Amino acid sequence: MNNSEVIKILLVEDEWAHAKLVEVFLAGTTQLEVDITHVLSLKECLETLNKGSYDVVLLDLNLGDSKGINTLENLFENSPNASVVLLTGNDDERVGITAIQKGAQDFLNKNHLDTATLTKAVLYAHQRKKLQTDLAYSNQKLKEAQQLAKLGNYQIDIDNREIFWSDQLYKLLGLSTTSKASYRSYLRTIIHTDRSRVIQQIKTALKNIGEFNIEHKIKIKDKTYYVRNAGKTYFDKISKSTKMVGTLQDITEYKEAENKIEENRKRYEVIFNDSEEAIYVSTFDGKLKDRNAAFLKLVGCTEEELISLENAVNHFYVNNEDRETFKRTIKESGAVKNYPIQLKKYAPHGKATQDDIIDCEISANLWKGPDGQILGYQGLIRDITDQRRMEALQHAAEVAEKAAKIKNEFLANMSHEIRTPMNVVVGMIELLENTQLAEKQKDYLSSMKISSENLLVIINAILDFSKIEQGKLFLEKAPFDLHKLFEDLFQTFIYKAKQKNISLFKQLDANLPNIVIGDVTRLNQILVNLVSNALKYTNEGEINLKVKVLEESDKTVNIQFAVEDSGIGIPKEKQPEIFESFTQASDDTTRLYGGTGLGLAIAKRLVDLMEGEISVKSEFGKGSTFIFNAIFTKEVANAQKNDSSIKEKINTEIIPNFDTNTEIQILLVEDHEMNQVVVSDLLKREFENIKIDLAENGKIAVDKVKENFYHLILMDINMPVMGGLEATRAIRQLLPSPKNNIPIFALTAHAFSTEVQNCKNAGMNEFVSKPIKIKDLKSKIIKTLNQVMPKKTELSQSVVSSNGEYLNGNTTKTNGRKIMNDMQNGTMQNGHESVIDLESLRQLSGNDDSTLKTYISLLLKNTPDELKKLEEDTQNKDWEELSKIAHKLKGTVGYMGIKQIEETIRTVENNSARKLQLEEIPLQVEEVVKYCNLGLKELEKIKI
Amino acid sequence: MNLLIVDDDLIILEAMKNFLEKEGLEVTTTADADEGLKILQDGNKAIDLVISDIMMPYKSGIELLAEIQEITTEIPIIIVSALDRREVLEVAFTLGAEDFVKKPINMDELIIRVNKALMKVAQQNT
Repeated sequence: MNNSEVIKILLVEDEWAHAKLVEVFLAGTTQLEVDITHVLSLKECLETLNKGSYDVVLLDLNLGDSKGINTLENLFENSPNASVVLLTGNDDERVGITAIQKGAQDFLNKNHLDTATLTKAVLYAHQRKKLQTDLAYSNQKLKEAQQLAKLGNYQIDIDNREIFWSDQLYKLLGLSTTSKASYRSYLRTIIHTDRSRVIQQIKTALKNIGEFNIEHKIKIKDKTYYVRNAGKTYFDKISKSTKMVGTLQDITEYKEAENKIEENRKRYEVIFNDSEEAIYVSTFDGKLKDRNAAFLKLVGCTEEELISLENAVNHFYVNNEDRETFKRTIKESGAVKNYPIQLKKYAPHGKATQDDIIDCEISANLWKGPDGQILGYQGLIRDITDQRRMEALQHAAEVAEKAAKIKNEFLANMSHEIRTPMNVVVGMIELLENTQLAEKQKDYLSSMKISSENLLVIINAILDFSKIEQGKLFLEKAPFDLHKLFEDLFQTFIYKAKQKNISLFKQLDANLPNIVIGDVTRLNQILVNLVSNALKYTNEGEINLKVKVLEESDKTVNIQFAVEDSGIGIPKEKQPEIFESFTQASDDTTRLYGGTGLGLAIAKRLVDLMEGEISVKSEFGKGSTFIFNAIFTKEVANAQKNDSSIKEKINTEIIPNFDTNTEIQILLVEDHEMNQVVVSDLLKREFENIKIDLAENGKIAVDKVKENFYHLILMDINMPVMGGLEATRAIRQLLPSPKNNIPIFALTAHAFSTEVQNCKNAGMNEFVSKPIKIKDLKSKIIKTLNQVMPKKTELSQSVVSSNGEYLNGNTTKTNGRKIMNDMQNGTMQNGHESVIDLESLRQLSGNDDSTLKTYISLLLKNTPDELKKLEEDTQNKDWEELSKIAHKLKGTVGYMGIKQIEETIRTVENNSARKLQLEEIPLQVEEVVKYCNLGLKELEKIKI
Repeated sequence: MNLLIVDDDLIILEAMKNFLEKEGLEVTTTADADEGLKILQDGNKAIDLVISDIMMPYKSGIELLAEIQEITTEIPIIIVSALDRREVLEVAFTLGAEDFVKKPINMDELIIRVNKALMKVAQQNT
């Protein structure tokens, strides 16, 4: 024992003399160092033990407060682990024996004490205690180990029929540790399918020398566990088994993992065998260690052939260098993924041909042995030959598609380019017609007119066609009058028909609705095409338009149109082709009758868009009938009532309701000099009191709008320096109110709906396609001027005339959104309603008028700059700056008390700072600027 | 007592000045944070309290606050802003702001807070 160890002794002795003696004896030893605490009573003893730990308790049984063996019992009750040495008198020495049974370490006769006896007793007591503690500790450890290993041990004494089970074994078997261990209760836990086997195996184990190992399943509370019973049987000299010791371990987790591995192995085996992709394992010198069926298929070789090949894998590479590089790559990087390589099919006789080459991608990794030694590699080969071919085909298709697209774009651009000068030609002819001309000149002019109009028709056809081909043509959905359509149609052709002495008839189904919803322009286009074809190819006889209802539901009506002629007819073999583009019945026809050959192709595509079908019935020489149907939406139930009003809408010409004495001031923005002349002259002919100012490009236009007042701007789209869209955006976004509200019409030869949308997005109000149809332009101009010009009758009520305000006599409630809408329509409230509320500013001034006046002048001075910066930052998309200035304006708006935009300016500040919903900001800024300007105007008028 | 108010919003600047002057305080105003800093550095006027906006162009109130704290930690600073986001306020208070008044300013509230801050200064001085 370590000398430096101090043994703490609690001495419990009520006789001072004895106690002193013990201390003296113990002090006399050199074998150990002791630290003695002396107490006089059991009570004190227990208290002291509870406070600290002592290695040995020297206990006198007969104390003042406790006598006899009870003293020891009380002590153990309080401190069961105490190491107690009894000090007894002569008379109670026999008590010592009982005390040992009760757990005391030793007992000493007080009357025969000496240093040696005491030292020995204390030392032994101390060491014994230590051993006992260690044993308890290792038992505890064993128990814990058994718990962790889920392992219980047992021992069967066969002669005495005694069975010991460890706690963990009870637990494993789901039994209480208080129940009796028995072979039978063990057998009961075994699932019945395993039971007889286990009994058999145990019987065998009892007969044989040596170890046994039985695995079986047990069932505890409906749950099945795997256990392993491993043990050993001992025999006596006459070969009779005496003892069986062993362990029972829960191996469920291990078993389940094993099962899973097996399951996975089977699954991978299936995948391996059934895989479409070749999987193989190879050594680096090319020995094939394993492969699946797909591998055989890939290399086109039988199993026998494969076996016959030495270093088989080497045979399937097109280039040996490739294989070397491949192997090096795997060795270096441990794995390859989608490594492109060319393999070839097995060619036993002669060289592989081009067809035998397989484009592959190999994914592989190193095949390592259990100690990590490299044995080869395992790989998966993907045959990408087909994929490569597909890619090539796809590429070809893309190229073709692109070519078609380029063709269409070319056609569209080409026609557009032709149409622009044609506009001038047609316009000039119209102007020329109104001048003094000689008869002969009139004839020439009329021919010119017809030819140029024909040319425009052709160009439009090409444009239409390319639009359809590019999927850019969309049908309108608007109500129109079918009967009126047919009337107008016949009106168009009546002159020509009379000239050729051909009669025009129409037969209309009695059930035909008056009004349907659809695209009247496109329907008319189809009909015009069919009727004009009929007229073109008919030299005598009649043309008949038959219209009937095929099908009608609550919402839609399917109408069939047939155009019948008695013309030259179409040969049977040509009939399927005539709806193809650039096709006519024969090349001769083209020469004889002219035309682009696009008409029917367009008609067919338009009919397709209308969810109908077009077909032709014809006998060569006996005329043709073109039949198509189209589905229209029906007018809603009250359509009948509104019938007249719709008709009115369709027919009514828009009349000016403004004071025609006021000069209309128009800015024409157009870079093409000829177009400038044409449009100006057309307008001057239609409006008596008109002043037209010119701008050659968008930039000049914006400057002019800044300087001057206009009622209306007519804006070309494609111009040098600054185009129409950009100019419109500049006017709408950069100019102060009310200049930013000037109505702007787009003038453009681009008739695509995307173009229309672009114009609208830029902020244009109307769209007029070139060549300009003056009637259309006129009605649009009047419609707009009706809203922005001073009214004939209301002139006196109107607040402002030509000083730049777009006002009318209506009083509008100040609702932000409403005002926005009104403003976009070119109208604005008349100013009676106040937008500002100076209450908070007044409060800030402390109700002091002169202070308030200072505040107002501050607002008037600073706000315009703030607004300007707000607009600039918006225009420049400088969101950071915008958020700052918006923050400032938020204060300004607050002071002016413009409630309508308080939320808007806050949104602008927040969204620009966070870069959210930025696309909405320009409109919001526009609204803020408008209101602030209104507010500033009101502030200007305030007299305090 | 001398107050320095820094706010780029000229109206509120003027209004604060008017109201505080009515309370018998001497008020110096500026719309420029750098100028405000200069006034503090020059020391021509002994400033007892600073009132500063947070959102200002060129230099934010937070930056100003930090720079003032570099010169002196003696002068209490009241932050004024429409920005009442917690994190901004936390930064302001971390940097040593004394108090916070939300915009739009309630003048009565401002006066109470200013007096409270000034009282604290007076106590520290004695």
